[in-house]
Amino acid sequence: MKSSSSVMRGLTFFSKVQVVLVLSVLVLSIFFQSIFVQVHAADCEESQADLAGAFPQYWGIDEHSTRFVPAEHTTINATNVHQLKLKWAYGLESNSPRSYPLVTKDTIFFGDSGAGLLALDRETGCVRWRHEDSEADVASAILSRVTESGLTLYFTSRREGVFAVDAATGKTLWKASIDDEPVPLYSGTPLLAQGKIFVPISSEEIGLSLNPFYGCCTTSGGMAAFDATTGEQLWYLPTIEEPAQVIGRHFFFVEEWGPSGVPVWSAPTFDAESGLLFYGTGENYTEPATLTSDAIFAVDAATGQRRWVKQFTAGDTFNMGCVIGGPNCPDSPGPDLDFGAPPVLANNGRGETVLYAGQKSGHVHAMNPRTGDVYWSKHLSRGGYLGGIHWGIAADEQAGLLYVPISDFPSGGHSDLPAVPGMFALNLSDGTIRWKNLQDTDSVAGFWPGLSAGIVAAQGLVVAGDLAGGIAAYSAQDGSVLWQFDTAKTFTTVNGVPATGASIDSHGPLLVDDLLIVASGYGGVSMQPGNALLVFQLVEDSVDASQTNSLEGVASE
Amino acid sequence: MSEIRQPNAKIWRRALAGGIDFCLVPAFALLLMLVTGLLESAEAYTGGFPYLRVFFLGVTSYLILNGWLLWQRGQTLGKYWLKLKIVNSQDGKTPALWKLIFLRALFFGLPHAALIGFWYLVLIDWVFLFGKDRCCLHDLIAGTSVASVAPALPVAPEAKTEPQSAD
Repeated sequence: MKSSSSVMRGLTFFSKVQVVLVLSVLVLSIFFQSIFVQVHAADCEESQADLAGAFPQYWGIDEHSTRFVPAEHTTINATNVHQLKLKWAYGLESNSPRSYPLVTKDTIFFGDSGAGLLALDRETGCVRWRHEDSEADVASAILSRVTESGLTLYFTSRREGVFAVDAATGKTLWKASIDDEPVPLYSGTPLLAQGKIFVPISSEEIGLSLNPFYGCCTTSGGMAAFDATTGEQLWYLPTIEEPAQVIGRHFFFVEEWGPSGVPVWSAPTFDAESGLLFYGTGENYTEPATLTSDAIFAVDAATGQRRWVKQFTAGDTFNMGCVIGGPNCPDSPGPDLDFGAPPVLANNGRGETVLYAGQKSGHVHAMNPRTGDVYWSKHLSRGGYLGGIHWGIAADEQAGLLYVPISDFPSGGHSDLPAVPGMFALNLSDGTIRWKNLQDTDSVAGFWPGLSAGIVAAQGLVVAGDLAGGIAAYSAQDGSVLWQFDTAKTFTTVNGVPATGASIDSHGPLLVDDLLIVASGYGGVSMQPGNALLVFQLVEDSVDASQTNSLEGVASE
Repeated sequence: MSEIRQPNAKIWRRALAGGIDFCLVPAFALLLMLVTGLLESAEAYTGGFPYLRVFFLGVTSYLILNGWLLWQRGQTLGKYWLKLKIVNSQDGKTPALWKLIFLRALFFGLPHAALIGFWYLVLIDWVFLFGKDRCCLHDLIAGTSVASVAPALPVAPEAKTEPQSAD
């Protein structure tokens, strides 16, 4: 052919050699790159996991989202927590890990974001298997359920939907997504109950609003229910039922739409007695604001019908366009005061089950779960669009306490109250403050030490990580610090991947058996990125010295 | 009107012409995007970033701005203003349109790709400019070269070849 012959015909010999060399290098580099990403260090000799005793089953430890680990699931308590020592560290590939572990007798399952779901040997941290579905960008806690074929794991991938994976082999059993919204974002952890999996739905439009040429916004958040065995969608309930209309224009051509937004990005809470599902919502992305933003929903889990909706901040319209001063920002942007922390069902000490909800505004609300009527509201802190109360609260019914971590990261605080990052313990009965332990923001030269991540409580203590990388166990009795560890350092890891700890955010720490597991480093929303998955273990005092010596080499500044 | 060509135009003139095209095509694509609303709705982003739509916008804009000139004169707008012309390296004639579009223009997006991290692809393309033929890789592959068009331009002093025939 004339065309192909003309390509090289007219070239000098030197030029031909150059072309061949360059193209060869290009092809070889692509080839070797694809080879290298397939190679992973520290794989276990035994890939089979003992799947007995998978824990926890929920983002909130139990279906009431109390984040309280009972004594049958952890031996860590106020009297021995000081014996926690670093057992091993694993270097994640992601620098914004956003997952929560599921632990069995010998395995820790954890999501390494785009690098997939990991099954790590609980004792050594070696990799039993790695779920490498290229679409599975793990963005949630790992849930489990015993099915006919064995233990099935569930998690969400931010853009692809919910995945069901065989826990023994790491093979995808099914994946499901909704067709009801064009750009759903599956950023919240689902909940398994009654053979269904309830999946929170947010929207990619929160990010698309940054694009000034994007016609923001038309979509709604919501809650979807799927059959946990087959992945078949059972129902979908949007948080906005009115269709979006054109409300304006910019740059002559770009249409502005509304209402929109009201995402659900936190795990739902389930009450088996009433059959109700509870979840919090975020702000409207565009005007007009709806009555469902910054609200708590109560929904019939069987049918997806609304029972009640209680809004706490009206007229809150905000999107990422406001952060850059873009044209998609509403004319009168709101404070963006989502409910990012799942509502908690707990006994108030007077025999009544109360629904507690923490808001980014720094408020805690106590409600009647059957009607949504508010018993009391307590305003604790300055708040802001990154909290206030951000990812999660916890309830200790035995101690009669609601633990409330406050971040107050400097981000658009809307109230006259001062920033008070720290741990608060409120009486479940009336919201009065039993104790508080504030972070020292004056002496901290580094990052803001707010408590943004979800927390976890156990017998006589509550554990929280902060945005500066510290993690501490507080006494339930008086809030004194019983144990602490600075994760903002580099770690020698079991898989040989250099790991750095940084902001502890998102799902936070887990207590299980004699282990404390936490991911350090969350680079989302302007926090400090890192990639350390840390496993601490109780070490008996009698062997403390020798164990400590052997472990000192693991952590290094 | 007849014109005189000097083969292997100076690098700075080619770079300037390339720079004009580099800016003009995306600017026109932006205008096209605004008018058509092709990337304005959520549906465009279903399934991820709409690379196909962006590619379509880029190609359409390139062809609208440069198609006729390429076909008739072997020029883009940048080359037209800088008095440059793409010619067959063998016979000095205006190359066939298909060759200009399907071989040479494939490389047009490389400088834009450099902005998102693929800078080495541009280097690979441009490093050949400093070879004996003073042709980029895309010229070598398409069998073309870029010539200055006289009399608008002074004759390059280093040009030793005889002026080629006029159109």
